Amino acid sequence: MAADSPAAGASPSAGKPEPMVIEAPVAVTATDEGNILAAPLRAVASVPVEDTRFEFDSSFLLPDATRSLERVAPLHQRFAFAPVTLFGHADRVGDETYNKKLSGRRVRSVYATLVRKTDIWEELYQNPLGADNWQGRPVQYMLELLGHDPGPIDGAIGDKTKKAVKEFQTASGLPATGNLNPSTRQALFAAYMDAICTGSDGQPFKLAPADFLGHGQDPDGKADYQGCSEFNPIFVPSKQQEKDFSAPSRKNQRDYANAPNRRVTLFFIDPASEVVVGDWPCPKATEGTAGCHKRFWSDGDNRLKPADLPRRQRETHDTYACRFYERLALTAEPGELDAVRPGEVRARWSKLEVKPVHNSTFPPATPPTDAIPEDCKVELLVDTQGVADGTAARIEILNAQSGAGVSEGALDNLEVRGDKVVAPDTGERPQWTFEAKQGPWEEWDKPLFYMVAHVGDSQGESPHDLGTEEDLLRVCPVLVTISDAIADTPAGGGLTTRDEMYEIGDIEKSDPARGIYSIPFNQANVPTALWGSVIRNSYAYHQTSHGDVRCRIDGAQFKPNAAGNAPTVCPNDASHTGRSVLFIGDTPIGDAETSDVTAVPSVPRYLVYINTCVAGWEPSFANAFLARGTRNVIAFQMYIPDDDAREMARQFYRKWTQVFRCDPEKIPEVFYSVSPPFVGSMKPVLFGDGAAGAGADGADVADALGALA
Amino acid sequence: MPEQRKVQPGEHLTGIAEELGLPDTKTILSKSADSLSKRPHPEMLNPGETLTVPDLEPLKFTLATGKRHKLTIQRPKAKLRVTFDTFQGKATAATDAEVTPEGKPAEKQSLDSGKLEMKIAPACAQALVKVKSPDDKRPDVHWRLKLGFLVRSESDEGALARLRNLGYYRAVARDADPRERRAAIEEFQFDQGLTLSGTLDDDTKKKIEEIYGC
Repeated sequence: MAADSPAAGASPSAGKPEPMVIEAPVAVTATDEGNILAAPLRAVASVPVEDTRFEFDSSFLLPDATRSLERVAPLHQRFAFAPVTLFGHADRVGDETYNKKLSGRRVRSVYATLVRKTDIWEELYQNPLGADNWQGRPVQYMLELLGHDPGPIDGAIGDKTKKAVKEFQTASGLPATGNLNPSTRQALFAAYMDAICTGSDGQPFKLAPADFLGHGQDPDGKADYQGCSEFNPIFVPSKQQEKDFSAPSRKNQRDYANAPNRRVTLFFIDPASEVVVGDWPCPKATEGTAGCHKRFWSDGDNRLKPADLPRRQRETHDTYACRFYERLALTAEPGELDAVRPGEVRARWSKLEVKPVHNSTFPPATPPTDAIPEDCKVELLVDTQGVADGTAARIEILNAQSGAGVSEGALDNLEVRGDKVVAPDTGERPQWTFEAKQGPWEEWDKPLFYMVAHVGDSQGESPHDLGTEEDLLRVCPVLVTISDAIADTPAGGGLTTRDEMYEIGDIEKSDPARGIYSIPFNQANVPTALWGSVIRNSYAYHQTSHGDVRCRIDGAQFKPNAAGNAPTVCPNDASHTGRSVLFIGDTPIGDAETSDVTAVPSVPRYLVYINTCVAGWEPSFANAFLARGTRNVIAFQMYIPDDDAREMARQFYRKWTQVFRCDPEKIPEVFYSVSPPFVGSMKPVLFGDGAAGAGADGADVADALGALA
Repeated sequence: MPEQRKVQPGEHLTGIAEELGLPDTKTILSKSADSLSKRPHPEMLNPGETLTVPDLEPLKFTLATGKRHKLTIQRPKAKLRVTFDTFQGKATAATDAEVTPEGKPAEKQSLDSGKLEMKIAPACAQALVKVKSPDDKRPDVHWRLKLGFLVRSESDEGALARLRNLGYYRAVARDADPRERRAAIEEFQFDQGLTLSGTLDDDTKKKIEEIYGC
């Protein structure tokens, strides 16, 4: 049966858009029966700009927003006539009026970027709201991305930041005063917007106000953009989680769990949907929440309340309180596929994001099991039409960038049954999992894959248009943070390792496609295999806990030297040698454990950051990682003050994950840029590529390696 | 003996009257053993319902011989009445349409506040109405109308079809999505000031019939 035409709004050629075709049953009359016909409201596509593209608790768009914004250009080209409308969302922390304002600020921030209205950013800059203050870190992020090093991204506008401002002013033809005056801000905002809002060709991309649903007519953006306050979360925690999160010491954990809810969503509206702007139901970004409540589902208030189980919109379809938003959002979901034609071999992935293999579920099972969790498996859906059962089939997996097959990435000896390609032993669709050897999964280089299916003499490929990235499989780089949770003490009272772990996880999660596993270990004894199952196939690993130096002969804890800042001597025999370890519970983990290829099937690929005392005291631990292929290890030679340890980690991850998108080549640069203030208190050490004198002002940090041993 | 006739999809009273050679629907309405005449919209029939067609007596004429007589046979007249709106319940900005009834040439029609009213052959089962967008950035909408296929509003199917025609939700193929259906019902209830229930209760169906026009 004919339905709405699938291509409505599309415009392959110039001129008027293709007509929308709607089939409708109507009444015929001899007297007065009438009919009313209206084209429905629907979206043809949507782009999420996730929370993690924003600086934490702020409306400032991080450099990484590029990855969301670059998806807009191809859709705008494909649906040239489809007007755009933006929805901002906040999480449930704080009251709804504040959240309405915050979601409004976020959506204005994105709108301003898309249309290059620097005056909106200026207004956000001039008027901080709570923690949403553009006058500190945002300025440093902008300078950093534009190639002017502002020093640590800490919100303090010091000499180094002023020097960067001067550099920017000179480069922009402005008087080099070092003051961030209005004309400098305007130029900075404009340059930064051009840098983060690009098409897939990397060139600046922008929309016109007339491309929006309200045509840019209303100064406050009626129908162009709006804030949904906290009313349309995509995740609602369970009652128990809500209770757990309510403790002040769990603030970071709560914020981490709520991250998906803080976002901006961009919808392309079908141009056949005739919208009368004045009747658009959403209040403006600057208005209160009354208009939102009117559009709630009849059970809208309940939808926002925690229930016995955590709920996700994608699975339970019951977390949006606003009926109107849900109505619009569900029209943007992908529809059913057309039937496969005779002779056609159609190949698709069962999902578009997959994690590389980890041995265990998260949180990890004790002992770890061999079962591969669901998030690591992807089914290869290959369909045919009219092909005889038993016909031989083969599937190859290829990297979409290079077109090269991945190592050991072929499934042979498959066959057709019931017009599906199946594995003969199970009769089910074949499954695939990614291991380290099938990498690399470089973040900045988009680890995207497609497949080629050979069935008899025919073949079919899954889509691999890099312009749209639609239907490509992405292998999500997994970043692991581990804390020794039994070493936890309340915030402000020494180590708060779990809290730190969640904070780092939150910073790392600047790309939502990254798999971030933050694992608090509560056991006194952790089998090496359990640790190994957690770090297997990971991209980077951050550890927060105790570290130590232990005797290789008798396992005793080394005593500090006279200065009290490093352990040097075995208490039992001064001739014994020691080794650097980190601690999870009572378990020391060092070189021997890292080298155990059975318990630790693979080590983190690019970075191990051991944020503990003295685990960088001598190089055996780091070398064990390097020997197995980890690119860099960061550790410390001294007993480290908690505040310094946390601050350097924050500084490191803000730059490495948010500005440089986890580019491993940038690890030394970022290390040497953030570590100098901490040399005196912690002696940070970088092992691996680019270490030992490679960076100018931090050279002594790496050169000190071994000097204390 | 009166004939029992099972209504087929797409049939309506005027069409049946024509098929039976009647001048209009009055004979069926007045002589039907059913309670057709008590219905607010007796034109509309549901497929599968049974209609009692009364016995028809032949018309008798007494005419003088040796003269010419002109006999005019009255046939039922059917109309298509449609208002084209926005999904927000306002008249469309479009002013021009082109209507192609099945088997007939296209004819231009102008829309006054979105209203289209035209005669149609009672047996005509399909018509294509192209509503021209006055704005080059917006597409035309091509309505493939299935005449007489709208069922009565007492059924969920009939009520939902009206909500869909009113623009509250999308394609036929999507009728199965319970979220979209519930959103459509609650949006309608909200727009009409009814209690939000998300279900097609009698008040809601009655209101849908009233707003839709049959």
